Parts: sequence; C-alpha cells; structure tokens
Amino acid sequence: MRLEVKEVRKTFSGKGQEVEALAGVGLAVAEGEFVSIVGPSGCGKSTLLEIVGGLIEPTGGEVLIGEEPINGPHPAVGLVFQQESAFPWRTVLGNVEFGMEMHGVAKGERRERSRALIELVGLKGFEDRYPGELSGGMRQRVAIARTLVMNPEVLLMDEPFGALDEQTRLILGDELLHIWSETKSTALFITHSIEEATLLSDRVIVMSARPGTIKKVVTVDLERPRDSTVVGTPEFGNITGEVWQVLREESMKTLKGQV
Amino acid sequence: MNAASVRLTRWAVIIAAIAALEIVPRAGLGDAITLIPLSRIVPEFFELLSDGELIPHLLSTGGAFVLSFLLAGVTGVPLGYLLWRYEPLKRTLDPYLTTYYAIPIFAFYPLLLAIFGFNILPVVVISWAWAVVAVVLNTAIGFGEVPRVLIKVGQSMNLSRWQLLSRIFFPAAVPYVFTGLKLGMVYSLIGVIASEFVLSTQGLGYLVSYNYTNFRTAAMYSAMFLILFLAILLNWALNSIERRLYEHG
Repeated sequence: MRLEVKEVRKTFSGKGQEVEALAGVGLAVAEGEFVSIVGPSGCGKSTLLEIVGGLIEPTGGEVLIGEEPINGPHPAVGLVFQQESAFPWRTVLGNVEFGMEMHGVAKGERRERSRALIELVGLKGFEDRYPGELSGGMRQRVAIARTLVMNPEVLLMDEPFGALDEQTRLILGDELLHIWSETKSTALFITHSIEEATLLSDRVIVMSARPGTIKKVVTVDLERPRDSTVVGTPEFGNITGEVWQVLREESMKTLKGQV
Repeated sequence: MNAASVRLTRWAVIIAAIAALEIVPRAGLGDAITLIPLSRIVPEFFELLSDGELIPHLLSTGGAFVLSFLLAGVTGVPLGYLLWRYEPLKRTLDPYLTTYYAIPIFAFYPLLLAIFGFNILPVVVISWAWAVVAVVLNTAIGFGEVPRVLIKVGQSMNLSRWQLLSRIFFPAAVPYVFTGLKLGMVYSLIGVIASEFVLSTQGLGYLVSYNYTNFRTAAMYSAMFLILFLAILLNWALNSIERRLYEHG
C-alpha cells in the first residue's frame, strides 16, 4: 500500500501563542519502499508521523493511505513509538496479543500469530516474562512485535531505537531489515541518526529546521539485502556525507535559534 | 549492618519493649493504676478471650471497619475517575481536597450523633469520610499519570472509548489506585477506633475508653493488644497483596 503526504501544514496554538511546526510537507512512499526522515530536533518530524498515523489532525493538507485520504487512524497502518510503550501489566505474549484481542481475533489464532512474531523479533523463551524483567532493547522489540503482528501494510516508526545505545541500535537495525524483508510493508522511519537512516532506507529525506519542510531527498542505492557491515564502505560514507551536509546547515539554524 | 544483625536488632527492640512493660510498673515508676506489669495483663487477656467478652466488640469494630473501607473503595474510585475526567470539577474542588486532611474531622462528632443517632452509623460515616478522600486523590492522580504514549498505542489500534478506558487507562492507573486503597484502609481503621471512643457503646475503641474510666486496667490493655494485633494483621495482608501486584515491576 502506498502512502502520500500532500502539502501538510500544522500550527499549534495555545496561551495566545502560535507555533508553526510544519510548513507544507509533501512526500510519497511507494508500496514496499523504506523511507527515513532525518531532521534537527524540534523540526516537527514526530508531528508529521503522528499526522500520518491519524493521531493528530493537520491544519492543512491531507494524507493518503492507498488512494483514500485518512480521517483518524487507518486500520492498515501500524505505529511504533520512541518512548517505552510495552504494557507493564501484560506479559510479552499478552502485549503482542493485545491488538488482536481488542479486535476479537479467536484465541487459537492469536496465540499462533503472536508466537511466530515473538520468534521473529528474537524473544522466544520470554513469552511469559513481564516488560519490567526485560532490557530496554527487548522491551522495544515487544512493542515492535505488538505492531507487526497486526500485519500493517504501512509501518510508521518514530525513533524506535532512539533511547538505546549505538551498538544495540545497529544490531536492532539489522534485525529490523531482516523482519522488514519478510513483511514487505511500506515503511516510514524517523530518526536523528544519519547512519541508521542510510543503513535501513531506499531514500533518506532531510527536513529543515522549524517550521519543517523537506530540504533534500537522498537516494540510497546500496544493494539489498544489506546489513550493518555496509557502514564501513566508501559508498555508505558518500551517502551519509551528502545527508550530513544538508543536515548540518539545518541543525546550525536550530542551535542558533536556541542561543 | 548485614541482614542478620538487622534482624537481630529488630528482635532485640521487641524484647526490650516487652521487658520494659514488665519492669517499669514493677519498679514503681509511673502511675500504678494505668501502668501494670505485663504478667498481670496476659492472663486477663486470655480469660477475656475465652469467656467471649471480647468477641462482640471485635466483631463490631471489624464490621464497621470493613463496611467503611468498602464504601470508601466503592465511592472513592469512581469519584477519583470523575475528578480526573472533568477538569472544571477538579478545579472547583482542588482547594477543599488539598486542605482536607488538615481538618480534624473527629471534632464534629456531636453533629454526626445528632444526625445518625447513637449506633454504628456515625462510626461508619466518620471512618468513610476519613478514608475516602485518600482513595479519590490517588485514583485521580493515577489516571492523570498514565503515559501519553500508552494512550497513543491504543488510539493507533482504533480502540473504542470503553476499551481505551478499561484496557489501558485503568490497568495503567492500578498502582496509584492501590496506594489510595492502602491509605484508605489504614485511615478506615483509625477512623473506627478513634470514633468508637466517643460515638459508640461497642467496639474495641469503646472498650479501651470504658475500661480506662472504670479502672479495669488489665482489660483496657487487652483491648489495646487486640487493636495492635488487628493493625499488624492488616498491614501484613496489604504488603503481601502489594508484593503480588508488583512482583513483575
């Protein structure tokens, strides 16, 4: 399923102040394509993702999932968040089953699909553990499995590995590539890590400082299937260099604005 | 200090306290009418227990406590939810709620006697009133503290309003609600015992005050021990429930 963002604008207002977060963003992700968005902090990339996910209404413009404009969360869209989101009161299995349970999927099927996904994200053997007993990286895998088990045709991820250290992040990036190659979903991924974006994506979109617009689109023509060993190649360096050139300029603007 | 010596010290404190209860009265320190040695209390305690004199009072206190605590839970949790749900209500009631425990509600007992008469009802009402606000406040805080991201997960999965409330908000708020219930339970017991001193002709609180005014010192201590025993039992039950609740923490 393809996804298109058309001239999306968002202005937040409160306490007599108006903050323009997004100033006309347009992008399209083809079916089965993996696109990452990088941008300086506060550029509105998370806001954009929540608009695409139907959690926030845009001030202007529209979002198409397939050919239809959305009006709230679309059932074919799955979201993974940066913050801890595994339910602490449910076991790993209970977490992964949650969405199916809410939508009345029969218990047998629920079990079967959940166990398959738990294995896919490498948590086999931890089905009956609670999130409090797991590491941060494992908890994030629980959240990813909980979203993937619903077979989303479009997968939106907001810095899912943002709270983790660099090594764990690259390893989980490898795993995500593997999982994604099996699910073939359309993916929109938000990160502030240029390496992570390049490793995972077909295209990297660089956003400007606030108010967010699209500054540049970089095509990643590295062969697939890939894994994190590409990080050391000159081609990889060229791409990250190209992204950084634009991002550096925008990040400087953000920093200056803060001083 | 290591664990063993901590445990040893704890036992030493208890033994020292018991020894003091025996030695201080025998040494003639303090008022001989209200301070009697432990060895005179214990036989009396068992006698009162075996001839059944304590039982109706124990039942009366227990009944008032259970009733007032259940009422505090059943009314407090929904009220806490409403307080969180309706911002204007919270804004209106906030100054009353935050100063609530600054008011010694027991001072109003004559008013309750006038309204409810001389029976178990004013005891239950005063204990409920003393306990319910802790439940209300903690429940409201619990709902307010549910992480935004968990709500977003539910919304992105197209949950109905009821599912969002029952499957995300409520389980996420449970630890706070439990804290409220725990406080409410302790306040209920305090409320019952304290109001029985003046509002009742039954119960362990009444028994303490009745025996005190009638110079039945050993019987007074027996009632006190029973209250102490009740409080310890309650505390133990709460802790074991809490451990089970948070063992996955």
